[in-house]
Amino acid sequence: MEEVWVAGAAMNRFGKMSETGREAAVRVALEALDRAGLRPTDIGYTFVSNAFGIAEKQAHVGPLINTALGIPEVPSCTIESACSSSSAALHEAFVHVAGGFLDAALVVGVEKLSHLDTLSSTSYFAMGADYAFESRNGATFPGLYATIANAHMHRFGTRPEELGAVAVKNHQNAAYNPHAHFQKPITLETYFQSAPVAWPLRLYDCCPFSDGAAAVVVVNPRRYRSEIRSVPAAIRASARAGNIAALQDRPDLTGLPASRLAAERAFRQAHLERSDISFLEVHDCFTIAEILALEDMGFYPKGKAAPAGVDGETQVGGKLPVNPSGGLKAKGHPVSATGAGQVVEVFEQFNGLAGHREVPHARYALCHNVGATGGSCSVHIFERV
Amino acid sequence: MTSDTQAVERQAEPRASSNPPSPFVHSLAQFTRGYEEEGRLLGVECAHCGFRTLTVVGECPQCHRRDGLRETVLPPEGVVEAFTLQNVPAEEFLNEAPYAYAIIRLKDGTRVSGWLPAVKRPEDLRIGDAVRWVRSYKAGMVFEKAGPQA
Repeated sequence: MEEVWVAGAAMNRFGKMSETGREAAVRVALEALDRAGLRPTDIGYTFVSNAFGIAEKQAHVGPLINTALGIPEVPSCTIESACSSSSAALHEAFVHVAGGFLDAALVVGVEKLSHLDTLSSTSYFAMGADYAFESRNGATFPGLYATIANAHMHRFGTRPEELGAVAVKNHQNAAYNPHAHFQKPITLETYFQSAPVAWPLRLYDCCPFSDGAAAVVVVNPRRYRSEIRSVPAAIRASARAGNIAALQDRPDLTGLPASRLAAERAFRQAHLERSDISFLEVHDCFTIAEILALEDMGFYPKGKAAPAGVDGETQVGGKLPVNPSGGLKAKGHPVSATGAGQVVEVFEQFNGLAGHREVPHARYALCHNVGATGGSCSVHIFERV
Repeated sequence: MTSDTQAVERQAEPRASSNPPSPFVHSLAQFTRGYEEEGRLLGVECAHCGFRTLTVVGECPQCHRRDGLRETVLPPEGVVEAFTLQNVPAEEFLNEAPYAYAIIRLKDGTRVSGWLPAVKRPEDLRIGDAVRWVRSYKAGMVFEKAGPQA
């Protein structure tokens, strides 16, 4: 197996884009290539994620992006895995480079939904669920995670203020992230004053609907080592797992088995321990999801991640910084750009570009990206080279 | 040795009888017709291991055998395993908010999704509460609280 490096990564500010998805995708792809010190002509394949491209009346966006990059002959395809789409695309790029089929691949995730109203956006998000059994019975996406939160609170005594602590921390981190959708800290009081969306979840438990784009350049260092301008992130593990899609068919609702399985595979692949990880970017589409991620991936025993968050262990400067970027919760969640956006945070941390949110002396970083309510999950582990 | 003529003749024989029957897949249309029109929850059961579900299956996810799957009627009574109160509703449920969405464990152990239009506050429902599926003109699988007060 060939060594695989992330040579460059870039994103735009998540939030509301005035340009189309394809324009934003081209912009971040060029920035990622510039950061890497590579040219579009180096790219052998473009893996695009744009799950809700149909919201822009656009499918098959890969050739449009490659044409704009001046490489129309380069093949492309679109990878869809709901909210874990661009980490699934990264996995495909990894497999191709690791297997020696490509020397350099481009991963681009992009989403634009802000031109729709909240109701339509909610409906698009719900398409990742099991329509016939979940959506047809009135469940929204927040509703499904709220049901999980209800089960978790019932079993482990998880408290609303512990969910609130996740929101406060991630908004604080995002305040130092110029790419973040929300850049203002919030207090626990603000959290409790926010409107109920799907009890027990409030507005400030939920990630925003964001537009956004992010790109990652993946290379074989045997070919590109001398040309790379950045501090690369070696991919030590690229693992994925699946699970029963609908909550109703799962024997236990207090965790996401796909997270557990993907993390186990990743740590086996990387020959690393949980304690080796300097910081994590986890899939906190809702506050409860950050707690689930830390427990399911084995960083905390079940029922113990929530109190650890209140104690400050997951802050930047704490024992195990979680979501220094602000996470999906505050950095934003442009579905198909989210997984690639997590890698941008790792790249910026390793390259001294993270400013006040920097995790000092970070060597290993883990990215955890969930598709819908855990039907899919990707876990990547990176090492600063 | 087979002559060319024989090969052509064999190809011309009707093949349908030698094809295996299309695999059984629990039908969404029949399930929906069951609860909307026939007043029954039409699920699927594995004759080998007893696994039961309402969802679409083509092979038993528990014992991984295919030939034991058959349709079966599930009991309407169950208990709430977990729920949410949808303050912000799904698009097709605009006029119903707030309402509860719940994962319900039926009396036979089968888990199903359903919603309770009459539950308007989180304190009106608890995990473990007895509920019952009722026929309704409303979308989806409508449940109501069972017990003495219902």
